[in-house]
Amino acid sequence: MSGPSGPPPPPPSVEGSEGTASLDDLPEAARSRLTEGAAPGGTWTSDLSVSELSAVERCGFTPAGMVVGMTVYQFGMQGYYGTSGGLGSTMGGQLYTTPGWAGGYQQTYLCQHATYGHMPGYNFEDLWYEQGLTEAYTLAIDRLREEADLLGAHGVVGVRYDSHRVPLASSAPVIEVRMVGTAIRREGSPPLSEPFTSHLSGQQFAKLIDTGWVPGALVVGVGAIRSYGGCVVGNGTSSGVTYQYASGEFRQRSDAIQNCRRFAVDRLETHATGYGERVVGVDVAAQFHSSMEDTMMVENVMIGTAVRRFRDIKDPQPARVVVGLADVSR
Amino acid sequence: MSTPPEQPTPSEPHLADLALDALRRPPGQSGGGNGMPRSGHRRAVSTDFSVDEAILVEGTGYEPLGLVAGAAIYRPPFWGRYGVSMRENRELADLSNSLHAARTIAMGRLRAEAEAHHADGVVGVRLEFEGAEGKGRDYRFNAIGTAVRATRHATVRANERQSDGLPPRQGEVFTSDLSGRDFALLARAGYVPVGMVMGVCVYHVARRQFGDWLKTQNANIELELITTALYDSRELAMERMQLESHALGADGIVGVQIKEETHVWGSHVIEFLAIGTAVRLVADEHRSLRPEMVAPLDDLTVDTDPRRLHGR
Repeated sequence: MSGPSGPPPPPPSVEGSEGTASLDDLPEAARSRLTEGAAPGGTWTSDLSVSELSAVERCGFTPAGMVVGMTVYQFGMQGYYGTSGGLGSTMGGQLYTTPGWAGGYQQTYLCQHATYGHMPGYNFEDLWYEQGLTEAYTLAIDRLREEADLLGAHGVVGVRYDSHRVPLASSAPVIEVRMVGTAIRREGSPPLSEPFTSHLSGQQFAKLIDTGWVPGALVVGVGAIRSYGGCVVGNGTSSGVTYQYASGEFRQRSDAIQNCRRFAVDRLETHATGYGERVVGVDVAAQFHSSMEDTMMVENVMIGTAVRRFRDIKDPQPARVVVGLADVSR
Repeated sequence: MSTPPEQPTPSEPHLADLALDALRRPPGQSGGGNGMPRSGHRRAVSTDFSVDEAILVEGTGYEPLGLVAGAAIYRPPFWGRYGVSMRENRELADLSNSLHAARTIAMGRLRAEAEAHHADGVVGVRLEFEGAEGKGRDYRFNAIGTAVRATRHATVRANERQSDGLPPRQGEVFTSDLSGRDFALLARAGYVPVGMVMGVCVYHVARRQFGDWLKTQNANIELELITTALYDSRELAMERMQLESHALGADGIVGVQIKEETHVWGSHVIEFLAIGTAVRLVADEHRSLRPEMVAPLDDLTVDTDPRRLHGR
């Protein structure tokens, strides 16, 4: 499994990181389980509920087996990571000499004080970190897809995803990204070059097919912005008064969060454009804010299912208004 | 294996095969070929709609344009918490104003992003207080939703059913915290959303005198002081929300939520937030929906909303 090493990577490009995982990538245990499952008379597994199973079968698919995609990924230290306001006057220099963040979004917020010598505030996009996050999620999705491929499946539905920090013996941050879903197969149909992946439940998948849409792939969009407050939030002496008594919007921080979301959505859409016209069920898979003194880090991972229209339903049946008689309290 | 219901003729290929065939073609050429416009390489549109919502909103004649978000970090007034006596029931107006301003800024940013998409409005808005951070206890608010626009389709339908779709534009995009499903139902009932409205009241609840407490600790009595405080602040928040709705020229507000939170202030300071979607009747009269009764076979242990699927 490849990790970040060597020279700093180019700006995050989801297309670029595709195919980094190959079939040889899957551990032996996974290959053995999948081969057993794919053999004639093998057992299929699924985490579909009974209703999901019937919904999937109703639209002509059968379960092929549960598939897993995961990665444990380390983010390379870039000198600034984990520091908090201690960068002082060297920050400006570092900001522009570290290749990891050259070329990304950056914005300077000048000191509003009449006096001189105060640090300006900086917002900048952490391209290095973004690249890492994107690769981690893409690796997990790719492996999910490879496992489905080994099972001879056409797609994966009901993918659940999760990511968390792994407290391993590394001073650099390490995360685990894991995904689990059920691969499904259409009997008698030749294999796809790339099985689809989707986080939609069995019922949602069935409704999607009925209305003329098919899932293309799980798509991911990532944004990571660092915001150094400069004197605006000053933990120093002269700006302390300003800090404590001022009230109002903290524009620099608003911009950091706003742009981080914007970047994540933009990249999600760019990634999805290769798979379909729309993305449904976009969810914020991971969101991280941390503030230490005058430093804030914002990260956003958005995930959704890109869907493609395969049939124009000319006169879609208008949805009916119903009162459900199911007992929700149970 | 049962067959899907939508099989027009026996000669027609199975929907599943049509779907898989589409995936074998390069993206942008996935059209069924029956006269539907090919999308070319237009950028994909992101939505946080579930499949149900996507179908329903589209059925109303609206098309999604993309996810839009608005963020605001707001530093509350330093003295906002103070200057009130321990025994006083009083609104902390500076804090009320700052919380209202912060939310308004976040919603304004969201609308600005929607405006950039040439949207008519934003549906399914989730406006959340995400915590207070840093030494300044800055509030962090985030709003996110899906921008939508009425299609030509909606205009045609609007003629037939007069109201479906077609919101008042008034130069501003509407916002609504209703789900895609509720939005579709609302349109069907003859209403359109005008905007999200809110009222905020941060209130200091007085502490009782020790003597009072001592005298009454074994009695069944109403704690009038505290009742008044909570009653007052709730009513103030609701009234402000009503006034906002009135200013928008709305007929009413649906889906009002009243939230009671202490945020970062500890005991005795409470924020009441009243928030909802102001709506206006555009049809001649309210159309009742006459729902059918069904016993759904959806299973209840599995949430089919993809927004909540994560870690199902």
